[in-house]
Amino acid sequence: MSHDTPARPADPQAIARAADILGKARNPVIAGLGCDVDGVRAALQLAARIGAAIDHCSIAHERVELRTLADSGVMNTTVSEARHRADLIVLAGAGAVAWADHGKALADGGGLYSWRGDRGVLCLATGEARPAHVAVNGDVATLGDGLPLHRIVSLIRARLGGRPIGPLPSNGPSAEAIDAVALQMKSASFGVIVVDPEEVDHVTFDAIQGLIKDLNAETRFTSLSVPAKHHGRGANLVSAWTTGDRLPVGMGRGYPEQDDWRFDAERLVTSGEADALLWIGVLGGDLPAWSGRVPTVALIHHGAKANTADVSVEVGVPGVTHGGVLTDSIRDGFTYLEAKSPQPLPTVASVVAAIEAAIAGAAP
Amino acid sequence: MAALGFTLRHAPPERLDLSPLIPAELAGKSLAEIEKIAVGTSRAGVRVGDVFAVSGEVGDEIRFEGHARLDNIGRSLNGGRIIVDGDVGAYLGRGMKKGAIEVSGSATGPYAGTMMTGGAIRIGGDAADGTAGSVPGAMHGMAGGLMVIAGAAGAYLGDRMRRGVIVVLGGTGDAAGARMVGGTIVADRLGTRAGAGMKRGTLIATAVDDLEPTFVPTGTYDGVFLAILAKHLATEAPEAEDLVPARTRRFRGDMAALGKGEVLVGG
Repeated sequence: MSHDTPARPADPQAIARAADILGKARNPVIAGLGCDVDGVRAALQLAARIGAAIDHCSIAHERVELRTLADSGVMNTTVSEARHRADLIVLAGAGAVAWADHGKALADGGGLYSWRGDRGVLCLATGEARPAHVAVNGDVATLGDGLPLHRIVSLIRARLGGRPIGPLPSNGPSAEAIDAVALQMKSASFGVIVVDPEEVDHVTFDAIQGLIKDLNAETRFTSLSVPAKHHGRGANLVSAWTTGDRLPVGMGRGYPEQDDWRFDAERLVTSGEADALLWIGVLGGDLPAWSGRVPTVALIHHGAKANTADVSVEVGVPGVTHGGVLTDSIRDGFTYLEAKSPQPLPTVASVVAAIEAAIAGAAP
Repeated sequence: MAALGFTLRHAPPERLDLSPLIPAELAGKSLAEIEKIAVGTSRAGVRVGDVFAVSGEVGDEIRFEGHARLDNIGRSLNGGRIIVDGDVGAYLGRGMKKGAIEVSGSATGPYAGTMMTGGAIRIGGDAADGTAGSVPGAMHGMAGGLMVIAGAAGAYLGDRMRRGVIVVLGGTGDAAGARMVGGTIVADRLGTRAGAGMKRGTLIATAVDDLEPTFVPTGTYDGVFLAILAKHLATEAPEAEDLVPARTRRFRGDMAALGKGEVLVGG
């Protein structure tokens, strides 16, 4: 662990109250988990001590993207590779357009590979959304503006494989338009389908990966998922190397168990199974309304509003008030971020460790 | 001989894992030994005797008083009969090979019948999402046997199902038979996205909500399979015999995947 400015310890009274709430709970939950690598590691260690379930607020990243990875495999690439190498960017769903415009990660055509040809952009089932900040040579092609994404993906897959399709709805695309898009995708030298896991379920995400596998029979195609919010990617990687599995994980029986349903934080709280909550929202993920059903300890960033937790501890933000390790969504790797404006606020890791120590000290 | 019975002393304070409580695991054990079996899922270390009053004699039949927090009832069952008076939680009959499970209430948690290869599960009420479907990361869901749901089923019924028969007297939720590679689902009504991504297998219903255009009409079908299935259900699930129509419209699909499955719509 490295910090640019010595952190001041958290309020001892708040730590003691937090330890009391979490230490005596039968089924505690640690959720939100929007923090850096050190924070996630500390939270996993605390979960092991108190037998908690631990989950991250990037639900779709876990239940859709990582589930499909385990179910049948996923082909994906980095933002950096997509930017430089792709001669066809396929924006699948309105969420993909929104992300591309917000982050502007594909706003220029790269330039690393002089042999790459012109870049096309294709919008699939994006409604009326069109990208304003994605580099393109020529016009943006579209298909299925008024239809759900899962249907458009299925139709393209069927026609790509030379299989028949049934009667098309009156508001849908023509068979000729579907065939033209299938040909455009097949003709790309390196295509990338951008999709937001928040917009699809695991069945549709699996179908998109199936389409990519079909395309790779004749050319090169891959996918790029809209990055998980609030450091979900990093939290799941830390969980994987620590517990052997992705989140959510439960430690109630003294060893880690992965189960999307049993250890879903919201379900645990709203069903009345959980009796205490530690919410870590320093990188985002506002305290949810359902947290009010159980005694709650919240680690929040300096200046956070609308906090209704029973115990609140203000902590610093990694990469802002202190240094920290986070995932870099451009190259999909971990990176250390220096503090932009150092402040002596405690880190998530130090506060969680202090709570754990207080619980250990109180244990008989 | 009175069947071995588990009666709740009070509502379970946490989810309980009842996978050890099947006839094969309990054979030769005394009631006192059974009461010491760990079934808790928290640090509290809950044992059978803490939450259940145990009565009767160890044999081929087990009776439970039901509750939505009771998971893994009949997991890996390989013979005998389990009867539940009330609701159950998740993973009912997971991976069971033989025997019978009867639940008078609903399966309130997901994945009942996942990876089962034989035997029969009968649910008197409704079944939650993912029933008979694959758990995340698993190659398949239900892989044999019979499941009868008297009420309605949630979403993803039979997701990645491989073999066996599911009968739903009520309707199904979204994406029934998604990604299935074999087996048969019979329901009164199939919800949206029925058979999404299915490679093989058969879905039968009297009505389907918004069948996807990657299912291709191939005419009417009144072949011998329907008669054989109706005869099978007349014996195994008489309450569902009328669900199988004598004549249907047949749709092949899902053409997005292999396209060797079918949806039969009749009634």
